[in-house]
Amino acid sequence: MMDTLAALTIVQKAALIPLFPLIAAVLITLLGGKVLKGLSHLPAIAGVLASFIVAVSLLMSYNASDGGLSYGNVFTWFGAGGFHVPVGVYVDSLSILFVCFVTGISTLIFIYSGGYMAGDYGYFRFFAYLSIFVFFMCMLVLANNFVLVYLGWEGVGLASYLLVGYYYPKPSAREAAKKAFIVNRIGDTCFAIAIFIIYLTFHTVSFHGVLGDPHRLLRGSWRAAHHTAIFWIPLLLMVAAFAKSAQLPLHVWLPDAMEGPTPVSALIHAATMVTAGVYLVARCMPLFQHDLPVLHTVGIIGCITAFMAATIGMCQYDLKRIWAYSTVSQLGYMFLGLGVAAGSAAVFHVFTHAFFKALLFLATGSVMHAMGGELDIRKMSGIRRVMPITTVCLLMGAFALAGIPPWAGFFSKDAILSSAMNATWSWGPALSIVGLLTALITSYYTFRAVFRVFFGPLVLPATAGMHEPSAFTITDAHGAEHNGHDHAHDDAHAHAGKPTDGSPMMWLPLIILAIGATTVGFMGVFGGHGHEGGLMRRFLAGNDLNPAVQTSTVGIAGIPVTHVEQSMRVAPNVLMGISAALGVLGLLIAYYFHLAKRDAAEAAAARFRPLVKFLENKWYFDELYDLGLVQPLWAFGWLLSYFDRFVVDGLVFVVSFVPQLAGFSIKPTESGRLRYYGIGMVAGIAVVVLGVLYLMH
Amino acid sequence: MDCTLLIAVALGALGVFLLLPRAQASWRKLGALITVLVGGGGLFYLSRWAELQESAAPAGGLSLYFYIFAAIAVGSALAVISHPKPLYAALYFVILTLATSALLLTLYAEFIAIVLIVIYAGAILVTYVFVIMLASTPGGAPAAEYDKVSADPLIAVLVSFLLLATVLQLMFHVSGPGSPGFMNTNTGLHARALMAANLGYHLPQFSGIKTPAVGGMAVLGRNLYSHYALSLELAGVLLTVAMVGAVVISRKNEPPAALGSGELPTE
Amino acid sequence: MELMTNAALYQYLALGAVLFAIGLVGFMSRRNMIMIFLSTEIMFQGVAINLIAFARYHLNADGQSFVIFLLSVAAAEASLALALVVLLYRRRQTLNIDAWSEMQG
Repeated sequence: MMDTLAALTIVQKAALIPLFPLIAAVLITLLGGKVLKGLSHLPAIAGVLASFIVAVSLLMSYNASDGGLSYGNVFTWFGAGGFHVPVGVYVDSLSILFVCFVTGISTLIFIYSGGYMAGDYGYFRFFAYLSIFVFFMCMLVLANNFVLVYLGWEGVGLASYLLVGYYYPKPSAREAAKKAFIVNRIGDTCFAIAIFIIYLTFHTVSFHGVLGDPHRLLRGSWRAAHHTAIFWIPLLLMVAAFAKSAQLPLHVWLPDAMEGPTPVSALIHAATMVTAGVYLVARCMPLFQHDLPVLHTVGIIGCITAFMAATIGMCQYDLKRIWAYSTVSQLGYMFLGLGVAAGSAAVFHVFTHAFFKALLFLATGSVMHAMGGELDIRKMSGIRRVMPITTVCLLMGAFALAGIPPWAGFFSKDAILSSAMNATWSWGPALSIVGLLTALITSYYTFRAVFRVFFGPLVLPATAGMHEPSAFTITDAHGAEHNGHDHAHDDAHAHAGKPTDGSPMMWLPLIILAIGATTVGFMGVFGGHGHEGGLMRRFLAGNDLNPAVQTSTVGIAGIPVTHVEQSMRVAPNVLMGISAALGVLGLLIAYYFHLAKRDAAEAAAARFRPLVKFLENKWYFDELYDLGLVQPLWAFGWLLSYFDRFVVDGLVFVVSFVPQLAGFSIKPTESGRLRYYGIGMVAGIAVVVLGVLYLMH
Repeated sequence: MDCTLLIAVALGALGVFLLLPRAQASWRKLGALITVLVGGGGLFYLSRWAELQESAAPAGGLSLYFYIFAAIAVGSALAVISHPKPLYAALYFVILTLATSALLLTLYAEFIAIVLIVIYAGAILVTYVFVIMLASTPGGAPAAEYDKVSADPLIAVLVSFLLLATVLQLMFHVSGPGSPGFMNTNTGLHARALMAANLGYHLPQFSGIKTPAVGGMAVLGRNLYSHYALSLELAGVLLTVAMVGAVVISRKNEPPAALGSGELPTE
Repeated sequence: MELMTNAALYQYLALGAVLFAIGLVGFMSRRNMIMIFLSTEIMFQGVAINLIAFARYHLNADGQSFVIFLLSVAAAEASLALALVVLLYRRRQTLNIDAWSEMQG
């Protein structure tokens, strides 16, 4: 197989990647319900594993080649006049990196899901959705034009909607799915308008045509001719990215999206889909690069989001929600990195974040699985005694998230903060300091959850050991029967009644992800062959036509490489030290309040009651939306409803009254008696003949 | 407007109105009397009128048989609709069929005449009699109330005879013998062609027209199987469908277990 | 075969019209379902006389062919109608057509 792969060109290989999950999805859809049933995860895992193998082989051949960009069309999707949308791939370091970690993490999560979802009603449906998600995600990151990216963009949104609403008998799941879909609509609309403007401006939608000539974007005469477009395109793309990547103020959907099954939260709402916004901005960096107000907006909003979400994370009690807000916060970091033109740092963080956040969610899923669906950190404690593997793995993820060296999150986060600190933009240091503060908070809330749940005296919720109550088992008799059937085949459920780490299918991916979360950070340090920023930076800097590297030539520090020595506000090593110290400080604070003296935490919370309440209510964002958007729309709806009821319906009533009256007056002729119908018919004929007679005379 | 025609029709309507089944049997006798008088008068008038036409342009084709069987047909038809007992009505209908087929014989339609007797008297009427016996009260019992009193006889008679008056008026006084320019000849195309052929003329306007002898089975058969072959097949299908439908409809449904009675709820 | 005159044709047509009218009266005034169908048969006979008269008049077989079809339709109608009568009689134990008048406005 490897020989066959080696014979393919880069474009062919890249085009092959999305194909396998698509085949798997079709296969599962067609056969899942009747034939595959409990084995539906096998084609899904096989499909995504094949994609991963091809992606890795692509990575190898990419390094082996001259390090340039490859792009090509596979076939024409549609065309009208001079407008053509091909289905094609655009392979550079950015898309290779994305496609590698998307397929890799997906493989692990698919395997995990096979154990986690075992026995759930609609098992095959879950894997069909997941496979279609991976297909669309690969399309998104590999596409060579904006319209195809849009297809992937909408496709992952659809998959997200379907998977958030997977437990559709639950009202909260339905609401969350709708919320995610509607909020994403804002971004999708902006993206579509941006594509229209791009076509009007560049007369093409291909990446090569739009981004391939950065010098044109710089030319003064060209800029003057298109000054409106080059302002609006990045702005609209920014809104699109913010909606997909849950940035202020469009972040509200992501925490609610945790209603979906936990592997979905891990895959879509932490590791891959939500980073599509980062990918989009990184990909289009040449468009942003020369429109500084928009780029700065990206950075500022990213920074504010990071801080806000971290503070909310401090006062949440649902484990999944804590990780959800931490995802929002980490995405904020990435946009902060993009905002200071440190694209490679941001993408590096996407990469490390995918590992440790997927790990955290999957480990949380194991906890949820063992605790019978309970996730309230106030109701459990010290469960490391019953779930040792999960605890160790989750600790690795927690260290990475908290930014404690040498775990992965530390290096990527530090790369962003150091870029911000040394950016030519005068706001950079301020943003960096807010970022450092956020790092402290991050470390605190991470270990707050960890110490509460995994350490201390053993306290288990009443539901511990039961299988997570599925929405389907409650409402659907057939589903319950299904569940019972599958239980017999799943040894994970053989020890019902005692919380455990679950089956090997569940803890093996955890271990692999834990190793990843511990080690991938070193890519940012070692292997650079003289480049500062390590293997990752060297990899992303390999191609001058690469937009992500456009930012990289601007430098990891946000300064053109040629001027690196010009101004360094704070040396990277010093910042590393500060960052590491803050991480450890957060850990210690969490240790004091949540392990050593848990009473002190309650006392402190009581003292700052209004603040805590404010944070518990997530800065009242949902309420703000309600007041500012939902209520006015509601009132407007009422107004329209009354207009409809009295004015429109009144008119209709008047119009309908006349025929109604006519009908009422001749209703008695319909007596139901045959002879009267006969009489009417004959009399009618007689009258017609008489009329003819009269006319003839 | 021909007053004679209208008066005759009006009188006939009165007679039929009185003849229809009603509570007081004496009125029916009066109705029968009026109807016989009007019918006899009408036929007599018709024969006088026809003789007048014949004398104007003698062509033949009228016969005493027509008047005899027309009288029998009309009389038995009136008996059918006015007899309170369905079985008797059915038997009068047999008489009507026989009279009709005799009338068809006067029109040289021998095959149809026989078929009419076979199908109507032999098949359809037997079915009627079966159903009447199946659905009636046992023999000797008085007729049912709905047979003894007809419904809305006045409206029915008025409407029917209005139509009859209109049609007769149209026939005799607008396009028929009562209209100006009426000639007592056969104006049909085939008839003219045949007449010309009989007289030895071979006129170009008739050259394409076949003039077959009417009434023969051979002619009818050729016509049916050439011009109306498809329609004939469809008629066969129709009869098959009707037969299957009749079997399905009249089958006594075994009540399905779920429904209990096996019948639709009535009221 | 001699030709049929107009006057002779009109006599047959008048007879057909009278039979049709009589059948119509029966159809509209009788309450027994069997009698109603019997009345329609009278109307069929009137029409059949008309058709045969025209066939005779025009010296062709079209009218007779029509009567063949008329007879087959009449036979089909009679079989279905009587089956329905039997069915309805079983339901209500009466032949009164007025027992079936639910389809009213």
